[in-house]
Amino acid sequence: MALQNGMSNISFSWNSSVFSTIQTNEYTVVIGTRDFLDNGTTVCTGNSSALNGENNAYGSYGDVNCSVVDFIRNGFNAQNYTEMSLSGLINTYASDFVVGHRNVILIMNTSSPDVNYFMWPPTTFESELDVSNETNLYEYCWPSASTLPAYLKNSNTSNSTLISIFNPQLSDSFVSASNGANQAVYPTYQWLCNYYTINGSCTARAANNFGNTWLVTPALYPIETAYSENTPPLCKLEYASLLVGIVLLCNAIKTICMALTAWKLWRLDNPILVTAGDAASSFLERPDHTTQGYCLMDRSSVKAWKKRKIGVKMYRPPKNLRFFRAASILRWISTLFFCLTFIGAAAALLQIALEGMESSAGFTEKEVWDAGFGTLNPNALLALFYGTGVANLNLEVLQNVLVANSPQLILSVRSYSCLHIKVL
Amino acid sequence: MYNAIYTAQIGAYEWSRYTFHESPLRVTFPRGNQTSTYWLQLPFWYSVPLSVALAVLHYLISQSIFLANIEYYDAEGNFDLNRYEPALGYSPISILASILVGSCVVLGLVFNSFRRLNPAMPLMGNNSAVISAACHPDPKEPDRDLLPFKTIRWGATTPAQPGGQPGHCTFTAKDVALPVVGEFYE
Repeated sequence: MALQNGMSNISFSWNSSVFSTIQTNEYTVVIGTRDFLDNGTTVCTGNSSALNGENNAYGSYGDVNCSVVDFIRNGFNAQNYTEMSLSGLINTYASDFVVGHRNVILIMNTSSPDVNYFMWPPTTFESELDVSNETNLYEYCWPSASTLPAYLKNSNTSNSTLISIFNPQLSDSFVSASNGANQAVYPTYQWLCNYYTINGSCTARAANNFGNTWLVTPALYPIETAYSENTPPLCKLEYASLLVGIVLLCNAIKTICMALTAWKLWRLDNPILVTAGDAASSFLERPDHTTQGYCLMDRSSVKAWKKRKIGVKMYRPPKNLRFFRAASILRWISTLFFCLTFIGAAAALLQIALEGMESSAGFTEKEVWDAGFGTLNPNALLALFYGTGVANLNLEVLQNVLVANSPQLILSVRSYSCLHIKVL
Repeated sequence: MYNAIYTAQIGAYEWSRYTFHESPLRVTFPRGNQTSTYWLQLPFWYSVPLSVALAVLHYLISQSIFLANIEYYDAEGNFDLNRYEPALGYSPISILASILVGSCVVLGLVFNSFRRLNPAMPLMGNNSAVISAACHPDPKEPDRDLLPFKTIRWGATTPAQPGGQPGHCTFTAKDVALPVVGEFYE
């Protein structure tokens, strides 16, 4: 029984032998004026002088990744980009895993009173601005000021077409200066929220709530149009050969054990007592003298019989006997306790899952249920063992396999342990 | 879990049926009039739905949380070989379905437990001592050695006597009545 228990539990790795793969894309966000897209002849070489003199009073192009700029421009011209509504953009990129989309082009609304041409982040655009009073601006990319600096508000004219370019997944793009450490404490999509009005981490719901007052990045650019690059869907199924090997080995051991058991039992000279009828037949052939004189003994009087405290008994059957009396109180308590605990835990996890999808990705209730039955959704992922490196990949896979199969493992262990039924 | 409770309930029901009509013993290797069935403890109309429910429950749980892998591509579409992350996906619909199926199984067990059980025979509860106590044939039983292989029933083979002499209850191949309520038997 212990062998069967162990082998069956291990064999639930069968569930994880085949699994799907999701492709997530890093993306660059480019913010510029309408001329950034129209001026297709501009070639970014990293040298400000080569940019047709595009610079402003606050800086010039320094360490801009020009290959990405060209890649984006070329992609736009090749019609790889589709225009998205602000809410669509927010819901697509408000996730740790962006699937099906890549780079973003945001066109600043130059007619807005909130327009500003401050180039952000400062470490990318070397600035000549005297910011001795704002040293944090250069130590960290995320401004530590609680309000937009006044000098940014004055930057309302410029010849620059490229205003901002950043990669949200880079940890040093969005840090909290308040803790003094260069660590990412906000989600990668923090740029979707108005920095000076959001309190804490950005969520899709919070970003959508800004509505027409939506301003992007710490520099608060008003956005007129948004374009998102479409990527071809890549669907893969993979299988883990190690897990398949384990399953095959366990099933082979189980088969051998079953065959051995059947062979040994077939050769037994003594009768097998499996059913109540087997026991009754055996006792009717050879009555047991220790129970002689206790013909009305029932389950509840067995303990008294063991202590020789009962003998002749009055026949008094209960008036109303139901099926539930057949099992002991202890068995009922343990069964119901386990079942209700399991269901309660599942309900709690469901609540957490729903809250996670609604708060982080802005899913409405309908969208949560439309996410699909058992389908892989980028907004419904748990990366519990993140960042241990490719070298520990097998360990990470095994850890995730154990977590994924733990509900079934618990259910099976409990089911098999209760199959140690007191038959006779 | 609920298999054990169902087994105890069906075992008690099967045992109690020997009080109201003659039946052969259901054994593993039948001899004489004894019968054998393909099912061990639970009849097919119990075991099949339970097995199906358990299989569905395991399937739903497997769809609730599952293994997935994440591949990373950079901003220019190049595959990043150094980043490959195993992750866990979950599906709220599957979790809800698991909860519903699990609840239905438990509710089915509870509702089944309110069925009436014939109280005439002492409750066996899959206890071998109780079975043994009911298997002391009357010395006057004809063909006593062949009793296990006949169709038998349980009842008072020796009635209780008015002077206080207790009667005796056991399995027999003869027609017998049930014990009299209020009388003593040994």
